[in-house]
Amino acid sequence: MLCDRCKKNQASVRMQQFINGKKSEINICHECAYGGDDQMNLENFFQGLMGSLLAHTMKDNQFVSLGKTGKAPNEPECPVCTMTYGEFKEKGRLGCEHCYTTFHRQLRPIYNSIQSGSEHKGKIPLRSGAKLNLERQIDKLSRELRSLVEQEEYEKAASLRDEIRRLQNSDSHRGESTDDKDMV
Amino acid sequence: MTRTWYEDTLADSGQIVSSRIRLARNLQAYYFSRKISPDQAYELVRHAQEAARDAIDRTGPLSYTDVAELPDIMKTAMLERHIISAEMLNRETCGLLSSEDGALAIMLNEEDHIRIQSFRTGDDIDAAFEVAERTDNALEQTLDYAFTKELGYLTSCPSNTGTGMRASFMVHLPLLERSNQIRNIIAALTKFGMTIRGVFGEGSESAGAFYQISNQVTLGKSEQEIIESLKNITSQICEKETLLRQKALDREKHDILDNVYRSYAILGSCRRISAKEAMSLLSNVRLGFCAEILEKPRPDRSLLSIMMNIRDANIQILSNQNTGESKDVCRADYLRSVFGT
Ligand SMILES: [Zn+2]
Ligand SMILES: [Zn+2]
Repeated sequence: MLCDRCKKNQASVRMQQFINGKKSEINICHECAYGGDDQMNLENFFQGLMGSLLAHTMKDNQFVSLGKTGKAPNEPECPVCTMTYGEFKEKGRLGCEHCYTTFHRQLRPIYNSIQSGSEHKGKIPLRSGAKLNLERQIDKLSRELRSLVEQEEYEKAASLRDEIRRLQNSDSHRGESTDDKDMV
Repeated sequence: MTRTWYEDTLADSGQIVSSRIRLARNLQAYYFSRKISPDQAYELVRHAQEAARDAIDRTGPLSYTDVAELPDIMKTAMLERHIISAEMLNRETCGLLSSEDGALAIMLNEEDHIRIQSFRTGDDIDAAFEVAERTDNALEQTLDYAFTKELGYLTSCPSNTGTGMRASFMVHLPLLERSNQIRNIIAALTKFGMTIRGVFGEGSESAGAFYQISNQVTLGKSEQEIIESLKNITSQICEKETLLRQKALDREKHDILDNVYRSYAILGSCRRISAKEAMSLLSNVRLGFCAEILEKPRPDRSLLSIMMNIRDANIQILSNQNTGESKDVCRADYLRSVFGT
C-alpha cells in the first residue's frame, strides 16, 4: 500500500482521523510520519489535520470546547482523543494509540533516558503482524548472508540465498508486492 | 478443590519465592484507560471476554469476575494477593479472567486494556513466560492489538511500550536487608535497566525482607534478552545472600538459631499480632527452613500463602465467623492454627 501523503513510499503507519465526526483511516510511510526533524514531519501534518478538526469544533460550539481544555497555545494535542501534552505530563498516561504519533517528539527523550533505545526488538503479533514477522526474518537472514559472503562461505551463502528467495516469494503471494515475480 | 498456585510449598525452597510475567496489551479502536468512555469500557470488556472464550482450547478454562461489582474488602484482598492492581480498585468497569489455580490472571480495562499475568512458585520464569506467551497468541487470533513496528505494543504509559512485558522474581533477602546492602543493590540495578522494590509492605517498603526484582526496560530489547538479564542479575543477588547467610551461620549461629526458633514458637502461641510483626517472624521461619537449621514441622501449605492470608483484608475474610474480633486477634488465631501444636 502506498503512502497517502507522498504517494511514493510503502505505508507503514496507520492512523485514524476524525473529520466532521466521521472516522476514516489513512496510511502513511515512516518518513512522512516521523521524518526526522525536517518540515515534513507529523507535527506539521497534524497541524493541517487539527486545523480542519478545530474548524469543525468551532463551527459547532463556538470557542467553548477550546476554552474548556485550558490548552496553552501551540501545545500539541492528540487529534483523535484530544489529550494535550500538558495533560500527559501531569498524569503520565497517554489517551490513545495515536498519541504516540502526536507526541512523538516529546516522547523521544523518554525512550532515550529510561529505555534501551527507541526501536522495538521484541515480539510481533502473530496474526496481524505476519508480514512484519516475515520481513524481520528476511532481514535477519540477509545479514547472515552478507557475513557468509564476506567469509567466502559461498556454498552456505547459496543455500541461504535460496531460503531468502523462498521467504520473499511466500511474502509476494501473501501480500501486495509482486516485484519478486522473476524469482518464481 | 484445586489449590491456588501460591499454596505450593515449592515457594519455600529457595531465595526465589515466585516468578511472574505480565504482558500489557491494548486494542485498536478503543481509547486508553484515561480517555475511554464508560460505554467503550463496557464494550472493551465484553470484546476481550469474547476473545478469551474463543481461545479457551489454548488457555484452558478461565472464569470471569466482575471486579467493579465486588465489595471493597474483596477487591482489597485481591490486591493484597497481587491478583489485581491498585488501578482497578476505583474503576467503574473492569474485570478479571482467571484460571482455577489463579496462576493465569488476565486483567481487563486496567491501566492497559488487557494485562496478562502468569505466576509460578519458585524459580520458574520460563514456564511463566510460556503460559503468558501462549495466552497472548491465543487472544491475538481475534483481537487487533495497538502495535507499530517501531514502538512495538503501544501502552497507556510510554514506559511500558515495546514488549509491554514486565518480568519479575519475588525474592527473600533477609541478610542483605539486615546488613543494609540492599540499598546499594537498589542503586546499582537502575544501571542495568532493572528495579527492586519491597513487597508486602506499605507503599514501596518491604516487610519480612521480601523484594520484587523486575525489568524497567521494555523497548529496545527482546523478551528473551530481558528475561536472561533478569535471571542473571537475580542469581547474582541470590548468590550474595547465600554468602552472607553462610558467614552469619559461621559467626553467630546461636543468635540466628535462637531467633528462628523463637519466631516459630511465637507464631504458634500468639494471641494478638500485627501484620508487620507476623511478617518479620514468618521471614525468620522461612530463613530457618531454607537454611535447614529449623527442625520443626513445616506448615501444610506454603509460607507464601500464609503471608498473603494474614494481610488485613484477607484475614478479615478468612475469619468471617469471628466478626467483632480485631484483625490482630484473628491473625493470631489463624497463625496458631498453622504453627501451633
Ligand atoms: Zn510518505
Ligand atoms: Zn490520543
